[in-house]
Amino acid sequence: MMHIITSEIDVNQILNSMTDKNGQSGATVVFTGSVRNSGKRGPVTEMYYEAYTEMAEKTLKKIEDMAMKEWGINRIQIVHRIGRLHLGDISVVIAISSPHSKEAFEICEKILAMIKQSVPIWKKELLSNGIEQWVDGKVINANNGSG
Amino acid sequence: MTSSIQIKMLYFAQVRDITQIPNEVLEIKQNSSTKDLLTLLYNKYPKLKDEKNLSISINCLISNSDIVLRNLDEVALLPPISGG
Repeated sequence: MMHIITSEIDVNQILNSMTDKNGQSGATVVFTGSVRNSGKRGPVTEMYYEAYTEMAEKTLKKIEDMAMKEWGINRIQIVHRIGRLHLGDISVVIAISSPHSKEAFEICEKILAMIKQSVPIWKKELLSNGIEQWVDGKVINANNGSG
Repeated sequence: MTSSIQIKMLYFAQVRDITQIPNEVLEIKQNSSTKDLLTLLYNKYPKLKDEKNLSISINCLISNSDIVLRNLDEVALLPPISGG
């Protein structure tokens, strides 16, 4: 499955892909991020996401590979949607299965932070007053960049 | 005569709002560095100077140093990111 998609994210499909018939995973954590109705500049009506897709794909693959290798999880899938999203639409999904729940929660949170620091994706708020404004972001972290 | 190389430029988000185009091919002198390229871009798009904290990637790798560009390198100007 691609990491960057333009259509609705199929959360159930991602959840099913975490199934571990060998029973090595006692925990699966699925995080979904969705479009919120408020931002720093006021009420939000829609959100527009764009990505440097080639670099984002490479960076997300690198994060997944690192998580599998370094953090001992059994399965992982990260999917980010781009394009114009409505309130409540899911923009990102992170799914992780691992032997124990504590590490699954912790690693999921770490991976979300890595996405926000290293994956070239931008979002623009469409505000209720008609103004469109790019969301203030974080300077991309070279140490987490694709390589 | 100094020969030139071609650089494929990619622009995103606030940067694309300034350039008004998502990509273009620029010709620069052989042995030009990322710093030389930025000088060219600032001349072509003066408003880019207002964009703070731009990062540069070369062929999908973040570049922090002033390195020499090669023919057909893909260079992107990346504003601060906001995925998630």
